Amino acid sequence: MTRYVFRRLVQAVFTVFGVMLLTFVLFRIIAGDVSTAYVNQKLGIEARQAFYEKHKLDRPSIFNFHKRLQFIDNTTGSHVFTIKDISGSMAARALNLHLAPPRHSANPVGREPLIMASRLVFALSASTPLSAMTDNKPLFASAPKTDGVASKGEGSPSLRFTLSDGTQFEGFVKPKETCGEFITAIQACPNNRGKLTVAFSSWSLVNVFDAQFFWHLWENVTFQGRSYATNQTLLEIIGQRAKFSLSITVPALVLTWLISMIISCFVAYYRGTWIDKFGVLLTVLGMCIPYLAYMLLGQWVMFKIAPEYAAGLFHPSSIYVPVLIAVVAGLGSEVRFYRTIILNEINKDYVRTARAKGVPLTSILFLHVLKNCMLPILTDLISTIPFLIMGALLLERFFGIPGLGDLLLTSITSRDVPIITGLTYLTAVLYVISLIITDILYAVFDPRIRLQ
Amino acid sequence: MNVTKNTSMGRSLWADALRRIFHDKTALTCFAIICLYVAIAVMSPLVFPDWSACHDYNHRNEAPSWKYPLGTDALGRSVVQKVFLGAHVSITVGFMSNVIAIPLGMFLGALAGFFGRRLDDFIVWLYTTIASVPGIILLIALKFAFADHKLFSGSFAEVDLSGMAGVYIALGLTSWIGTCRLIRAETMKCKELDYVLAARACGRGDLAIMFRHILPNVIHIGIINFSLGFVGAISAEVILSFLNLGVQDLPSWGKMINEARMDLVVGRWWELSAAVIATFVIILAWNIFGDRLRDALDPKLK
Repeated sequence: MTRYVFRRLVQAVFTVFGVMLLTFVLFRIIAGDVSTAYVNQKLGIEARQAFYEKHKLDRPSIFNFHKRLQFIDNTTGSHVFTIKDISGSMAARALNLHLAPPRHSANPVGREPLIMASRLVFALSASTPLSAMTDNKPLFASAPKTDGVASKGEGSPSLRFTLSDGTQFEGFVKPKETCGEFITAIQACPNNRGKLTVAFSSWSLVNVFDAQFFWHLWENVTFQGRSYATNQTLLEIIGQRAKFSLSITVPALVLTWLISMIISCFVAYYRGTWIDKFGVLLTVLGMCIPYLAYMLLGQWVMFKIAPEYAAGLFHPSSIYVPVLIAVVAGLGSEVRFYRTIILNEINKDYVRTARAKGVPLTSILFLHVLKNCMLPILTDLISTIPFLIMGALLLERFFGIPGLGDLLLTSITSRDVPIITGLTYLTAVLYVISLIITDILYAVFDPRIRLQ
Repeated sequence: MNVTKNTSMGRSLWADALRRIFHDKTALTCFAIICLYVAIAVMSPLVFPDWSACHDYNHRNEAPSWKYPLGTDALGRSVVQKVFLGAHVSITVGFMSNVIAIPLGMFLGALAGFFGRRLDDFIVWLYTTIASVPGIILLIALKFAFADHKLFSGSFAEVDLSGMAGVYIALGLTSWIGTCRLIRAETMKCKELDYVLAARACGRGDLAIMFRHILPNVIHIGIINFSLGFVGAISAEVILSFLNLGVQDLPSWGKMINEARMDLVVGRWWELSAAVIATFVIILAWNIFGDRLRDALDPKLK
């Protein structure tokens, strides 16, 4: 038993991982760049970069073997460490040097060196040309002047470094320069004297997993994915919205179960008569009416009877109509399923024995048959529980109920990836858990089944 | 020695199934309805070629009359025509999604059941994974993923995934799981039977046994699921169209229901009821026909 449960749990981990892989491929790889929906294009590339960085979209997709060029300020002082473009250089902007803005502490003693880092580049080495780090953006505003003119001072494109102790110096940016040359040129600046070192960021295991895929896994598992639209974490959103979904689905589930149990017992009791045939016909007809028709007709009927209940979720009584529609729409298939199970049971030998002994039909049906039917019926019920939290997607959309199902549909249309993947993960986890519980229930209550 | 044939010789499964279906009036009626729908689906794009030019602003929202037997919609288009073109979309989507899903499910199921071990583990993992994502999410996700993509772009067989093709490919890729599960279980049973042992003893290879000996013995599951799969595909298409993710430039029943959702309160019942009844009848026909087909083909239910 313990071994079986353990094995099922291992399988469940694989399944949940598979779901996360699926959502990653569907929503982060195939869906492509979603920033256009959330960042105003007029704000330019910096705003988009900030969005990418906030949601970790600037990371490589699966493994991070990328490195940065780091400008490390070894001095201590009160000035702000900056790197600025002067006279026609665009290198600081192209290299994305705002990525790690310097933290400034009031107490300079013992603080770590300030680091300004460049864009992530795959396989960065001393021979990488500087232009390879700029994502095709130019290093210069216009074509740089010839070396002869540039050496005269003023007009040549360069970077101005301001260190925290106030030291200022300028490093020239030359066209077609490699990273190695760039580093030596800056470190050899006359004012530098070891105050500013430039180095490649070190490669470590932590860096390798600093990639979109692993952030995706982490966000899903911890429910800390932040919505692109509202910047709330998924946990907060679930806290706000789950109650609306549950307030529709839980009453609907309980009512559907109760009513269909009663009807199917009734129909099974009168099996073979016209009541049974009529009941089966009704369930088949009920199953074939499209769900949308139930919603529209239900709303219309309620509008005729009691218009104040037919609107959206303004007051608690508004759940009556959606719940009613969910119950009626679900009744057909449930009654049919339960009836099949009960009839299966009725044809068994022990029922015949009991009848031969003279046990009245009602007590056979409700004492023996029903008890034996409960296992498949309850397991069927448990397997629907995970979908309760998502609510009835269409009902929530139609009646404007602000539950999780409505959120899911909205975030799919607006491509709010962290929310979609998080909600999918939530459902998958609940589903897998309910499957395990179902299997264990079977093993506990049905001694004929052995778990292997 | 004139022994009557039907007692001495066994009938084949297929002949027996055909005979049963043929004697079943309900099943025949349903089959006739399905044939009617298919005929409408095939003919309607030929009869009404240009849907986008059909609007007629002088006859908007008209009640049923002799000229327009089911009235007109908000743009003055005949609802009859709309329903017929909707049948084209529904039947095409139902058919094509099953053409994708059933062979895929049968192939993967047979592979998993026959070879077992790692391959089985992988395929079971694959379908458990897909089954634990709610179907509608997966469908919408695939539909979105397909949004701006084309298959075989540039070639003569270019498929634009934003339209109807996207709908049925998405449906096909999500609905093979049930078939796969059943075929896998059935293949596992068949694999242990004597005739497979005999074939193996005769020196037939794995693939030959799988395709020549096992698959013909489980193919009835595929056929049953093909007919029952129509029900799921048609309902899913209606829901996708209702969410504006379905077919774009042709009318479909889901789109009709969506467009007419406010009409009922105003008293315009014809468009909504036409779409709902059209959907209801075909789903009912497929449901009953699928059930009867299962009874006829599945020997265990005899």
